[in-house]
Amino acid sequence: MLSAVLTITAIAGVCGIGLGAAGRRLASQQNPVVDRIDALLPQTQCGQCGYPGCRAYAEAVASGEAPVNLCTPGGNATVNAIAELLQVEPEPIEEADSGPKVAFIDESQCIGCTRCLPACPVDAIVGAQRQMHTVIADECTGCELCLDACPMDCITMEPVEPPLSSRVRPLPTPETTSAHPEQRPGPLRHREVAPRRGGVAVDDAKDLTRPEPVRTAPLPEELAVPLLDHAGARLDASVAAGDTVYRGTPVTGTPIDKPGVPLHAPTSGTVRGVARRPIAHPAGASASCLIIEPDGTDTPEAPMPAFTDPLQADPDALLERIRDAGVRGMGGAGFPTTLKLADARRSGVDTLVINAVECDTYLTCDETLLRQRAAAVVHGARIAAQACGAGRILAAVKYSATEAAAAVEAAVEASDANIQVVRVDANYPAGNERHVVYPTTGRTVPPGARPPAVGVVCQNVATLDAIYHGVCEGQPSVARLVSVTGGGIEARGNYWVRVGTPVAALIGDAGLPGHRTLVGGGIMGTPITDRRIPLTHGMNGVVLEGPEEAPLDEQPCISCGRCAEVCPEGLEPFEMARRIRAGVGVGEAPEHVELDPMRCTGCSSCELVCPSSKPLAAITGHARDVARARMREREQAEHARQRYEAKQAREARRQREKEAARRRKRKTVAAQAEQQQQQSQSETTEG
Amino acid sequence: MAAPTTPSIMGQVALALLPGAGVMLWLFGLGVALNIAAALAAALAAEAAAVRLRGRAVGPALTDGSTLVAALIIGIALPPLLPFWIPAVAGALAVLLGKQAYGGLGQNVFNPAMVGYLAVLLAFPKALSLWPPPEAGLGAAVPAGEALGYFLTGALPPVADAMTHATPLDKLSTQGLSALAPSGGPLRQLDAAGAWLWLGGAFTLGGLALLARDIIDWRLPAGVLGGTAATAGLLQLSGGAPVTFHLLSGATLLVAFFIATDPVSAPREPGARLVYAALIGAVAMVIRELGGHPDGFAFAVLMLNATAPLLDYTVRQRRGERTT
Ligand code: SF4
Ligand code: SF4
Ligand code: SF4
Repeated sequence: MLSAVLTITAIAGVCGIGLGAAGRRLASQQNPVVDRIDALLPQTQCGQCGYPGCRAYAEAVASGEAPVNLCTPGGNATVNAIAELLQVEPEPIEEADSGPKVAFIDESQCIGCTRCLPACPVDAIVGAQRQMHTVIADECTGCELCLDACPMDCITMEPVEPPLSSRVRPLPTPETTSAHPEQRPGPLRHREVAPRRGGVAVDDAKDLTRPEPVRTAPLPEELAVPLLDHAGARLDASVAAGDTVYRGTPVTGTPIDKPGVPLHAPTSGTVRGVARRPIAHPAGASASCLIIEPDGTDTPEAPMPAFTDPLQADPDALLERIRDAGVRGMGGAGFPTTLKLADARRSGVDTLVINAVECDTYLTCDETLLRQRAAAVVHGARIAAQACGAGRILAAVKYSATEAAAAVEAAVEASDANIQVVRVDANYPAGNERHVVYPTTGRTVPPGARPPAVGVVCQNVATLDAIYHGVCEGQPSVARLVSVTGGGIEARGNYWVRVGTPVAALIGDAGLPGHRTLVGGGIMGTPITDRRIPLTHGMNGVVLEGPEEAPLDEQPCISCGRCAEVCPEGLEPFEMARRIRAGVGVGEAPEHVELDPMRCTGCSSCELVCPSSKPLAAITGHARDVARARMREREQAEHARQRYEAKQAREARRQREKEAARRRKRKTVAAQAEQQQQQSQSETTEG
Repeated sequence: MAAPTTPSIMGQVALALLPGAGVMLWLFGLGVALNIAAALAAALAAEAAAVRLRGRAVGPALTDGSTLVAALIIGIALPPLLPFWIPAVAGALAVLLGKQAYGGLGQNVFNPAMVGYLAVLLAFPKALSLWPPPEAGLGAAVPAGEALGYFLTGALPPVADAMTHATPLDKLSTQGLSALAPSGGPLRQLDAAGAWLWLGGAFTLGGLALLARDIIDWRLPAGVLGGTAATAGLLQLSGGAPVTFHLLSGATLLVAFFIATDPVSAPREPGARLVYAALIGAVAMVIRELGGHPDGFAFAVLMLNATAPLLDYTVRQRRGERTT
C-alpha cells in the first residue's frame, strides 16, 4: 500500500514538473490576451470606443469591463474576431456593417475656402483658394475629420467597394457546414482514396465526360464580363452603355503604367452598362461587370494583323500581342500570360513545359482540347517558347489520357518541332505547376519558389491554344472549353462557352436540392449558390454534386496525421486547423513553418484523405485571407502614417520659416528704430 | 482502398482487438465478456449524458466508435473476475475524466481507457489483483454460473477464491526471479506462460492487421517494443527477468499495438512519436522491475501522454532552428 502511494506521488510529481516545464516554455510563445486583442483592432486610435486608443480598449476588453462591440471602425468583422478569441457570443454593432467609406466633396457647393485642407491629417484633399476641392479617394482613410471643417457642409462620406483582396471567407464550423450543405467548402467525396507521401492516390471520375461529344453552349441573353484583373483590382470599362461592340472589341483600356491585360467583348451586341454581379469567390463576393446584350449575329471585330512567321518574330512583339489578345492563364489562376512569359524570359528559362496533366478528378476540358486542337496547342507552345526564350519544349500528359497523348504525338510528328511527350503517372495534385516540373525535367522547385527559379516555365494547354489564335489569327481570347460534370446533372460533357456566360445559361436549373454546385473542378472548386455568376477565362468546370459525392458530416479530428502526410507543401493541416478554430495566432506570423497558412496552396489533398471530413482547406483559407487582409491594412496604415508625418514635418517647417521671418522682421524693425533714435539724437545734439 | 472515415477506423481497431478478446474469453471464461459489456454500457451512458450536457449532438458522438474501443481495452485489461461496478466505473470514468472533461474526442490529453483502468486500479487494488489461472476451454477456469454470480453480487464464490492465482508478473514483483522457474503448481492443461503467449499472439495478429491497413503508425508499436526490449535488456544485466518474458507478458503487446497507437494522445511529429513510444516501454520496465507495481504500463502511458505536447514542441523547434 505504502509503495503504491509512493509510486503515485512520484509519478504525479514527474508529470507535474513536465507539465509545468511545458507550460512555461509554451507560454513564452504566446502573447497575452491583451496583445492578441490589440492585434485585432484597426489601430486607428480614433477613440470612438470611449477609451484613449486601441491598446486601452484592448486592456478593458481583456479585463472584462468593456463589451467586445465598441470598435466602430473595425466593424462587425473585428467584433466577431474578438468574440471568437475570447470564446464569447459576438454582439453585433447596432448599425449595419457598412464597409469602408471615403470623403466626397460636392463640387457644386464647394466655395474653395481651403478650410478642409489643414483638417485632413493625410493630405488627401487637393485644391487651392477659390478653386474646387477634391478628395483623392485612394489616400482618404475615412477619418471624418474634414466633415466639421467645411462651412458649407458639402463633404459627405460615401461608401466604397472594398477590394477583393480584403474579403475574408467565413470560417467553416461543424454547425455552419451541416446547416448549409449547399455552401459547404471542400472537395467532392471520392470512393477510392489512399494517402501517399506528399500526394493522394485517388480514383477519378473523368469517364463521366470523356466519351461525350463536344458541344457549343448557346449564346445567353446577357453576358456579364467581370471588370477585374487577376489580383482582383477594378478595371475601367472603355465602352459606355449603348455602345455597339463586336466579338473581340476591347472593352477595357490598357493602362500604360499598370501591367493590365485588356478584356474583350465575347460576342457582338449592345453594351447595357456596368452592374454588380455575384462572382465565384470563396467569400461570396460580387464585382462590377460589363453587361452586354448579344445581338445573335456574333459579328467579329476586324482581327489584329496575323504574324506570318511567329517563330522568328521579335519576342517583345509577341509578348505585346499576347497581351493585346487578352490571353490569361486558363488553368485556373487567370494570371496574365504576357507577364508570366516576360518574367520567365527575365529569369532566363531554358524549358517550356506544356502542362496537360489536368489532375482534377472530374475535369476533361484540357484533354478534350488536345484531342481537338493538338496542332494549335503545339504551335502555341512554340510561339510561347520563342517569346520567353526557352530552347526546349516538353509536354506533360497524364498517363490515363491515352487519346490526348496520341494526339499530341501526332501533332508533334506533323510539325518539325522537337517536342518530347512525357507521360506523368502521378497522384493528386500532380498538375500543380510546381509538381509538374520534377517528373518532366528532373529538377526540383524549392519550397515557396516558382518554376522559373529552376529554369522552367509551365503553360496550360488552353492558354497555348489562346496564344496560337491571338498570334497567328489575330483573334482575342473570348471563349473556353468548360467541363460540365458530376453526379447531379444528366447533360454532362465539354462545352465551348463564351466568357461572361452566366452559369445558369449553361446548366439551367439542373442539380439536386441540398447538393452543391461548384465552379472550377471537383476538388478545388468553389461552391456557388447564385447561378448568375459569370464564367471567366480561368473557370474550367462546373460540377454538380450527386448524393454519393456529398461530403460527410464533420467529425472530431483524431490526429491520425494523414493530412500532414499528404500535404505537398509539408504543412500540418490538423494542427493549423485546431489553432485557427481556437483563434490562436490567426493573421499573425506562425511559430513554425509547417503551421503557416500562407504556404498552403489550397489544393485540398488533406481534405481528400481526412477520415473526419474536416473542411481543412477552407479553414486554412480563412486564416490566409485574414493574414492577407491584415497585411493590406497594415500597409495602408503605414502609408497613412507616412503621409501624416510628412504633413506634420511640412507644417513644422512652415512654422519655423514663419517664425524666422517674423524674427528677421522684428530685427529690422528694431534696427530701424535704433537708427531713427540715433538720428533724432544727433538731430537734438545738432539742434 | 475506400476512403476511411473516423467511425470506420475505430471499427477496424475494435475488430483488431477481437482476436485478443477471444483468446481471453477462451482462457478465462465468461467474466471477460461481462467486463466488456459492463464497461461499454456505462461508457455509452456516460458519453450520452456528457454530450447532452455540453449541448452537442448525441448521435454522432455515440457512433464514432471511440467509446467502443475504450470499453474493449478496459474489458481486456481488467482481471476477468469482478463485480459489475468495477468495469462500469472504469468505463464511465474513462469517458468522463479521460475524454469529455477535455471537450470530447480529439481533445483529450490522456488515453481514456488507461484513465479508467488506472482509476479503478487505485480504487479497488484488492479486487484487481485477483486473476484466475488461465485454462483452455470456455469456462474451465471459472464456471460461467459462478462468474455471473460474482459479477452481479460481488460475493466471491468459494471455488474461485481457492483458484485465485497470481500472474507471472505478480510473482515477479512479490517473489523475484525464482517465481519464473517451472513449479508444476496448479496448472492443468496449459502452462501459464503458454497461455500468455497465446494472448500475445492474438494481440500481435490484430496489430499487424492494423499496420497492414495503414490505420496505425508503425513508429508507435516499434518504439514501445524497442524501448521495452532495450530497457529490459539493460535491467537483465543487473539481474532482471529475461527480455522475452517482458515482451510477451502482461500488457506489453496490448499497449504496443492498441494503446500507445491512439493518435489523439500520442505526439504528432514522427520523431516525437518514436521517442514517446520508446519512453513508454522504458518507464514501464523500470516500474515493473524496480517499482512496487506488477505492471507499469498504465502509469507509463499516462506519463508520456502528458509529455506528448512538449515532445512535439521540441521536435518542431529543433527543425525550425535547423532550417533557419
Ligand atoms: S482622410 Fe479624413 S480628413 Fe482627409 S479627406 Fe478623408 S475623411 Fe476627410
Ligand atoms: S490544402 Fe493546404 S494544407 Fe491542405 S494539403 Fe493542400 S497545401 Fe497542404
Ligand atoms: S484533420 Fe483529419 S486527416 Fe488530419 S489528423 Fe485530423 S482526422 Fe486525421
